[in-house]
Amino acid sequence: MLCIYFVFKQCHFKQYTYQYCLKLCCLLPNTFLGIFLAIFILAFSSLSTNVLAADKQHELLTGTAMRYLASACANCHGTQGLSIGNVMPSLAGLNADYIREQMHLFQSGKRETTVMHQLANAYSDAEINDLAAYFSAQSMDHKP
Amino acid sequence: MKNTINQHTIVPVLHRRKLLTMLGSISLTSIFSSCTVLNSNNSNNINKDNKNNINNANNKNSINTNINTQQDTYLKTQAVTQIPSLGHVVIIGGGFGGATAAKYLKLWGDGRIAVTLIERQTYFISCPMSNLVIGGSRQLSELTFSYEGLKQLGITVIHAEVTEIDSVNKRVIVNDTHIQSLAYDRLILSPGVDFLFDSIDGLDTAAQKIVLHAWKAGLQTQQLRQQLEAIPNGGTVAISIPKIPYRCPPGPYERACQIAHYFKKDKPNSKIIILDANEDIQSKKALFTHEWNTTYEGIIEYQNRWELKRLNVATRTLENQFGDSITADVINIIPPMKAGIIAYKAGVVNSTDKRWCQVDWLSMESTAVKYIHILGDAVQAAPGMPKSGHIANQHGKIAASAIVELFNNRTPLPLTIMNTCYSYVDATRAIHVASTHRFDNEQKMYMTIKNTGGLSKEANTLEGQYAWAWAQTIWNDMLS
Repeated sequence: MLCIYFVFKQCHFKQYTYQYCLKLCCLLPNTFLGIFLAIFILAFSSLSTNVLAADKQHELLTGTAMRYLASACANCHGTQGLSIGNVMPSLAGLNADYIREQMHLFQSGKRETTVMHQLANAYSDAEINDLAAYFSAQSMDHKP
Repeated sequence: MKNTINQHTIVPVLHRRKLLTMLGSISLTSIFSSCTVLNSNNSNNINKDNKNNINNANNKNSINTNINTQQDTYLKTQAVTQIPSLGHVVIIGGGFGGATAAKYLKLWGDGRIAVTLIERQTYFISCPMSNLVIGGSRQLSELTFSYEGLKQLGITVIHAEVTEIDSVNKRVIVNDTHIQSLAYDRLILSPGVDFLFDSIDGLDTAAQKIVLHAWKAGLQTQQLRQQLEAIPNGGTVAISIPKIPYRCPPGPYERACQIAHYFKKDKPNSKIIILDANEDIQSKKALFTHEWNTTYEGIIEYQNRWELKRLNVATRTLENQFGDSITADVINIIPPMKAGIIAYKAGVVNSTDKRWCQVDWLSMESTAVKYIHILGDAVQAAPGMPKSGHIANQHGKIAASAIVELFNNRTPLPLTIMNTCYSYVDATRAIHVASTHRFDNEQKMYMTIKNTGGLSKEANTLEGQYAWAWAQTIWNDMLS
């Protein structure tokens, strides 16, 4: 039970979707335990109001609003986060936590930068979460 | 470099698991999919509500009902057959605004919007970075691009001149042997600027061949470079700057730096005089003056409140509002500007000074004529929003997103937009100014966001690298 609690807590803490939690469960060495965990989490999550949050995140990721919000980044970081050349970083496929952390470091001025500290404060924490999820989900080799 | 611990790596591992696990995960996934279906049902209901509430008519079904059938040959063979369910957008002007709108209508329209881009030039030549050609560190060919990328996205690109806009019948009349006219559901005008040559005595058509503006990148950019190369060491150049608003506020000061960079290297006795009609330097003042006082000490002279009134081409003399005159070997006049002429033909130039177009900022739709959206330099700008290529790109995205939403009977969504504008002070070092803008529901306009924006600390080569990377990326963002 401790193990179940650990996996579930981790997922909850990192704001992963429950689908992602389920995949994590399947990675556990003991497959029967994996199934048990998966069923448990499904049962738990269906009762939990947090399901709404997970679904909302899914909706935002595929929604048009998300594409519009992210398009302002494209001028420098490229269409759907793929920049041209080696100087300007691409955002496509970067880890969502990494993007989120960097944006907060830009906001607080803790990371040295030329321009991002002047732009990062345009976004709320919720928008940064959404942008991070959006760019991490973009393919690194797509043709826009 | 990139952390790949995400779903991409987990899925293959998942496939290696035993059958039982697979079965488990499949059944779970299917339950989740049913959640998604429920979601989409909900959003459909919202759409239906919107349909009832919003009166923005989508004319997709009545596209050709009241129009001249004789001129529809092209449409029937080209555009109409390609028109999927949502509608046809015609875009006039393939610069930073128009090309971006074309691409993003395709990207966000899910292939259901037909897009026709009309552009008179065969190639796009970028104004940003064109001062580097004048300074001698870049070639114009490096800033020149074809429209092939947009064609590959399924956009119909027509190189022709638009002669008339019939906003009543929603048609564009084109000067082309094959196409007489095009019908639109929504029209996007991205006309850029034209010049008020008449406001300067003596700047007639003949004089314009000798005294260049080089404020639209292309032949004049190269000609101004040649004029600079032709003058002797010790010759002078005068740059005349109009009163604001004009395209690219820091551009004239960047140009002075670029010419000074060339003079310092090749013609050390030559000088530049900046004649600015404004009260003060319009952008990046501290950064530019620092360069002029250090790197280019003794080369650049700046005069404010110097409004050009008269030009004598024969004597190469300029005269201002007080009757003061200055003579120079090369004269570069950046004349006062107005919205591109096609905007006047469309009847959308409605600012109080009759030079710019006012828009509904949520959709970039003209406040004068329905179904016409206007982008870029031709727009009466919102506070703190410069006339720049970057902003035109953002206007293109506002318009594209709004049209996608309107075609789907939804309300346009406000965007968060930004501007980063780089200026090179020599061949490798650059400075920037940045700003961010968000739609304000009370003002009904984009306003700058508090605690954002600002300037470079100093000119350096890192910013120079970012400046070129910015250019390459934004060219790609609009053209391929």
